[in-house]
Amino acid sequence: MPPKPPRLTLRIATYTAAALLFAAGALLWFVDQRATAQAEGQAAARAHFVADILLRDRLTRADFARPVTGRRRGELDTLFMRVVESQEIKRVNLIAPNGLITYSTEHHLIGELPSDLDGYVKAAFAGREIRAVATTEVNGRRAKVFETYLPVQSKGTSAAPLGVFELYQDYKKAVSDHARRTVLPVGGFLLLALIVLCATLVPILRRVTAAVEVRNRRLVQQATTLERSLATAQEARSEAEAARRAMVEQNKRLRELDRLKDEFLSLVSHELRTPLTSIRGYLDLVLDEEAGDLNPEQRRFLEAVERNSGRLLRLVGDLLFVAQADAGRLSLEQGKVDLAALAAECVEGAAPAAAEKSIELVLVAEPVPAFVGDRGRLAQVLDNLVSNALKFTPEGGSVEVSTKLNGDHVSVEVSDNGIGIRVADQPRLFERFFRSSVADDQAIPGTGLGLAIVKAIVEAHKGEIRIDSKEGLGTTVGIDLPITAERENIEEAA
Amino acid sequence: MIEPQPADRLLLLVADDDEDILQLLSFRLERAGYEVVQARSGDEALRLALERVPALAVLDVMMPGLNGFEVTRELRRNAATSTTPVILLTAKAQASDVARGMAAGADDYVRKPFDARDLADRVGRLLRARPIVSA
Repeated sequence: MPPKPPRLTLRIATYTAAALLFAAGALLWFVDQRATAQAEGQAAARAHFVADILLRDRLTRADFARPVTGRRRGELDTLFMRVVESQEIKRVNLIAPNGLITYSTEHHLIGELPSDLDGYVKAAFAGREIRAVATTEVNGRRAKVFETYLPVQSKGTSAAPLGVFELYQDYKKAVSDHARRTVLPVGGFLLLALIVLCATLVPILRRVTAAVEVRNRRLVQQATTLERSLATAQEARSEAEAARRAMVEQNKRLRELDRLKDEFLSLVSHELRTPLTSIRGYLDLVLDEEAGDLNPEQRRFLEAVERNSGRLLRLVGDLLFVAQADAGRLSLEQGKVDLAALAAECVEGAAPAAAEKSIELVLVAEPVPAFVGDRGRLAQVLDNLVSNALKFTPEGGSVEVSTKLNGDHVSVEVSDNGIGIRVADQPRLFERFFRSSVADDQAIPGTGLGLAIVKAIVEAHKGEIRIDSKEGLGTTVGIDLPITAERENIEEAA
Repeated sequence: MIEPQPADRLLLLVADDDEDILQLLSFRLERAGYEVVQARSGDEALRLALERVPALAVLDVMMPGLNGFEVTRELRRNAATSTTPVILLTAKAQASDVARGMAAGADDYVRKPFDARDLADRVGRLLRARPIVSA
């Protein structure tokens, strides 16, 4: 969450007020400057008035020549005091061309040299009228004063001045108070104007800022929403990333497990095969009567052992095969295969089992061209299919094995008129360890590996399997194998 | 089958680290009329082969020490045994293993679990196919 922005009205009002105050201050300062200049002008005019109108005609050339003493000083005192009292003049000095003060309303200064002889006094003797603001001691008190230096010339001539008037006026009374009389009303007016302006501006400001604030808030809201959705997206992304990583990890583990499983199956199968080899080898020795004659009962019992060890061996072989197929290590020993001959061999091998169940086993072998394949594996396919057909066909039924050429495919079909496969079971037939419900119901033995192996071998040959079955009527399993591939290798392989 | 007379019984080398299978093979092959010398490891097989120069060797692939492929290769390298027929016994059903065995110089292979009579037949076929050089 971003911090709530401060109230905009207040901010804008503050800025506006500050700007207005600054403008007012500047205006006031300007007015004060003008007023002060004007007041100084008036003060200078007063000094002129005092010097030229009230005093000049009553002074003599001698008054500027040397320090005034005796009776003349008394006369000048009387004359100057009146002027000083009436005109806010603090002090008047008369200065001789040689720089000495010839007369001063403050007698202790008579005969002294003025402090700023080189500056203002010289400038005044050069004929210029000088105005200055200074802080000096007047009648024993320090005060801010407005000084005027006025050259005194004999009437009608432009010769060098006879002397210089130096007049001190109280700055506050002569200038500041006058200036203030102008400035104060202006200041008052300004203040009033400011208040009026503010009073007018504030509602407008408030309306404007309210609108701005609404927009601002909306923007902030949008930013917040955006930020939140961004954060959500980021979170989702990191979650997805984590999930992906977990999945990759899990996949790795699963692959590892799968590999271990394959390895385990393979190892177990190998390890089971070795002792089985011994068992069956020695059993054969005994059955071959290499170790002496067997009575019929011994032979019957040992044949049961042989049958079952054979079953075990097939199971181990199937397991090993499935493990290899799963691991993608199913390799074919390519060679020239005559499918019709293979079917004949298979039928011949299965004949005893068929005879045992009184099943009619028929071979309809149309000659087909040889093709490249793994003869042993394909024999396994046929054996599995015929064995299945015999298992799921009741006594007295019939099983037919046929081969034919179908364009660029050779086909072999195994049909029976047995119990069939339920529609619900059909899609799962090729799954490993899957047993049809009928097989389970009727306790027909099997591991559920046969068709999985058939499928793996047929697919390794790039062939296809078809199953057509009706419950109670029978099943036909067809295998189509392409013969186009690797034809040029046949001669070599053969 | 006409059993060879004991005097001209051919000497076969049989090597397998599984004692039961070794004895079974030996029994079957002796019954088929051969003289059998047994080896329980690849190294022993190689030593005996070079020492006794058998007419044929039946070698298990998976043995401690030198395996069947390696023994075969060594036999082919040696002048005395360079043409001695070799049958490999393999538990592996892989085509690549068969190819490996043939590349090493084996003449035939039999997969475990094998039928001992089938093995004896193969031995007979291989021996008949080659001129027997009397020792």
